[in-house]
Amino acid sequence: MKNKVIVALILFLMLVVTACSQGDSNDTEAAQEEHELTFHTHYVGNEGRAETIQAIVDEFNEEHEGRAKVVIDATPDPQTMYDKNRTSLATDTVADIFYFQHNPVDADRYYGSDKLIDLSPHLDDGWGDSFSPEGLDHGRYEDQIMAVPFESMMVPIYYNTELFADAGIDEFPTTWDEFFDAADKLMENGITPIATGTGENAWSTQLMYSYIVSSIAGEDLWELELDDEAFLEGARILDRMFEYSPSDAVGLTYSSYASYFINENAAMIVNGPWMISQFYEQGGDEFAEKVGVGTMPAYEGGKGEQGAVIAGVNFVLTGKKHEDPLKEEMAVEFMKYLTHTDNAKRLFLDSGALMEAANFEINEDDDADRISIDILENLQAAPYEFKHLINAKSTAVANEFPSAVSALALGEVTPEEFVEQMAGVEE
Amino acid sequence: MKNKKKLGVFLFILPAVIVFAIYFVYPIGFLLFTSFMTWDGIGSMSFAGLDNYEKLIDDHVFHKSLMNTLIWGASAVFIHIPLALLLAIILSYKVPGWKFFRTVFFFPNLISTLALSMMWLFIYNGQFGLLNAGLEAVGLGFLQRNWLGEMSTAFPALIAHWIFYVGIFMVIFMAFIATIDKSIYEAAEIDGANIFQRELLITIPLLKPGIAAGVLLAITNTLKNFEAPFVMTNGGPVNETMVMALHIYRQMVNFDYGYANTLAVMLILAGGFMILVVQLVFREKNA
Amino acid sequence: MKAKLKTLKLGYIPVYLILLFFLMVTMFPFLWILLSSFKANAELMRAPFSLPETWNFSNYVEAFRVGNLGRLFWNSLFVSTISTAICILFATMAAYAVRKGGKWAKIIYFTIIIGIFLPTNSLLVPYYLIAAQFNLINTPWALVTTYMAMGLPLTLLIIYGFVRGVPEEILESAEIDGCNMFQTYYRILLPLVRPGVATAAIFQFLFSWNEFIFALLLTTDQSARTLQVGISLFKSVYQNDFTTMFAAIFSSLIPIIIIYIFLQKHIIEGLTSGSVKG
Repeated sequence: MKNKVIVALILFLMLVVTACSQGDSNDTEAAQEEHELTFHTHYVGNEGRAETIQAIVDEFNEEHEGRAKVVIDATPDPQTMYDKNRTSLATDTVADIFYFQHNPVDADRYYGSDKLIDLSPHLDDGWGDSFSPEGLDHGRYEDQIMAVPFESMMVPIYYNTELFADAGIDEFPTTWDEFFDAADKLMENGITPIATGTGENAWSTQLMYSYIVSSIAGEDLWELELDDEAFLEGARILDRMFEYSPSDAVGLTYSSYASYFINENAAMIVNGPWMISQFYEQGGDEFAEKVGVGTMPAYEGGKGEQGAVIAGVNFVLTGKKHEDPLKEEMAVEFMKYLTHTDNAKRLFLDSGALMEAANFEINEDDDADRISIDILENLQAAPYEFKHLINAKSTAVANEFPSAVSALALGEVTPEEFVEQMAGVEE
Repeated sequence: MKNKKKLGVFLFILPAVIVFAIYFVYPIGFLLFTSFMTWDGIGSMSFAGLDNYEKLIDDHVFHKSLMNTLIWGASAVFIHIPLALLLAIILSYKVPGWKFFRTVFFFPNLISTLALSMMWLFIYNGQFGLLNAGLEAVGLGFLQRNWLGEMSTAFPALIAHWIFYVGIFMVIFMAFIATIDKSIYEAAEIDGANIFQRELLITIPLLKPGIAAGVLLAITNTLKNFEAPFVMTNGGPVNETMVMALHIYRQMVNFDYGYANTLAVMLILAGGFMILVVQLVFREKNA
Repeated sequence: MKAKLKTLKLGYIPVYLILLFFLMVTMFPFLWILLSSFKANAELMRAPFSLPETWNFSNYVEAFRVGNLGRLFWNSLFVSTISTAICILFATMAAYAVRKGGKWAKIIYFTIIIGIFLPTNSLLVPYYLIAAQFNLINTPWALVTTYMAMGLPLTLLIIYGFVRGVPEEILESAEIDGCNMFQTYYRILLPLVRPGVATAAIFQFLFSWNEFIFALLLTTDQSARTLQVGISLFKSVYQNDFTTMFAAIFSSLIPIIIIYIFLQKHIIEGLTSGSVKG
């Protein structure tokens, strides 16, 4: 009996080994002559941009057959992607082309590591001109350019026009007083005014906080200390905001509060343009038609202006430092291809994603969706743009926010203590 | 003869030692070394002396996470394992359908932590969650709450999600029970012992080696637990559900590898301590 | 055992109440994942615990198309089986050596045990470097070696617990009969500690099967990735496609459950056969 089991196990193992080894052989041999480059991305699987990115990579590979072949290293979750980037930087095995979420504190860690490609010699032949000078500043380190802007964002306050109309609100509030009036009316109709939560990185909540504080402190809010009077007042308003948030906002994860908005239980959500594809896919065309695009309400006596938006560079594109100049050339070639205006436009039309180098024009016959166009128009009309907390402060500060804001929402700390805690992390 | 034996022992232990040297001596050395450094994980290191260890004293999140980790470990020992034992004893009576139950109780152990955690997010949800709906249905609506979002319930709820998935230990205990000599029970029955006395006084003492193994396995599982708290609460609200492994991860994300590795050293020490306790408790009567 | 059934009859009601409770909590995840996998995402969020409005198989089509689950399944099986086999081999050998050896062997044993508590996240950088050193990145062997090593201390701990219980006379009499060390190990010791081997193998296999972060870190494409990575393709912080993910999870569960039911007999037999107590 015992022997039979062992024999069965061995047979089973052999089966497995042969099954696996057969599959392996096809991919390895072909790419001897050409440079194989890895592109580490989270635009894979069912992500809104996945198909377009794959198509761009395929076209690049076709055009550069025999010289370069880009292989996608897929990590679907952005947080996991950053983790993998960090680990591979520590171990000197980072992908040939990758991107990361920019914040001024931690970007310098990447740039100063001496492990990344210096793009400055490659920017002269016109590539550099496709980016704005401010955009390029995101990659500047000493006298080098270590990264180019990749994905930008414009983060509006989406709102459900039908729920607003039902509550007797004609247009999106232009001041916070109007905002809370509108919120009260929505509450009377049994609607949660704003979909937000403090789970994960408290994404929408930190966006809302950035909006509130900018309306008080204006464009240069991030130059202030985090316990400045403006942040304190912002924390008070944010605290009040939780009365108008889902009852389970503390600990609520993005997918849940996003669904409150898509299922029309909640009337507003602060989020980026990548959400547009979800409006259409999960809510359907009928729902998507109801989605309006709102911008920052004004704070009475504040320095901010109504209509300002959270926008700017979110991801910067960079890559590994190469010994072989030919391989470096090919890696840069792919970055140029990926950030080319035509491809930026394609990504915008396919998914609403705003890639940097967004100096393309939308024509009548382009099949752009209405929400994307609205966002673009609001962006162009905005008096100024500013970054949100995660793009403006160090990762350590961003990571403290969910815990601190949960304490605020639960009444465990006062707004004073909240801003102190945030300022304490920044040191 | 003696030398031959020594050579044999040497050859037999060699593979494990080689694996250990590569995969453990080096990482532990690396952890110890970097715990005395300031290092962001990307750039160069600089010597920090005992700074990271001094930081432990004031880091109340570390204290909380250590406490939570120990509580979780204790719940494994005092609730999880006894439940597994209870089921194993019941099924060992071969009640009708016992094979079915034995198979089915094991299923959750086949499902990844990620999938289970996501399901429990839905169960605990404050607005549309199943638990609240169930309470409402049986007239206990006043107990409804945002289970993972409130300070008082978040951590108990986190532990409770896993505590009933005892299949793996149940199967191990059942196997041990099957090896117990049946004549011992017959003797007990003649002596007039009832079913509870029999189980308590005969089965459980005889199961001691199995229970010891189960307790050790349960503790090691819980000490390193990362995925469930990461997916379900991310340590919140207000670090109420923070555990060691998650706190370590947080420091790494914050580019503080030096301190992260100091915390890792602490986790290893805590684990070593718990192993020692278990060994002592179970050795006493065994020897 | 049969005799005891009679005594238990009075207790059937509480016993079945307990069993039913556990049946509920254990079958629930399984059924819920199954039902959810037929829903659309919006429906899942609206009514997470209802029956699907329509039985929609498109999630399964999507899961197999995007996730390439077939290939990933074989990788998972390969990695888990081989890592478990090697891990058990090394651990049983070492456990025997510790049993036979002197003080230094015990010291080595206790040193190795410390490895159990190395937190996974702290191992990311060192293990990546090791895999890169041996040129294993993006091969299934990177995962085989890593999982084998990660599981070794725990496996050794479990198995040594059983090896320690083997009576000295049995080992001695084997040696007197002229068995060399290898023969004693293979013919006498291994059969005696089969419960330990089975216990450790279950743990090691399930650990390898469900491990995610190294499977992602040490590989870059589908030729070497495992099921857990495939499933994760449908989960990201800002774009959750739960229902397709559940279709992927359920598809990945079917084979492992079939394997478990098929092997259960052998596993249980392995667990019960040794009878260390003689």
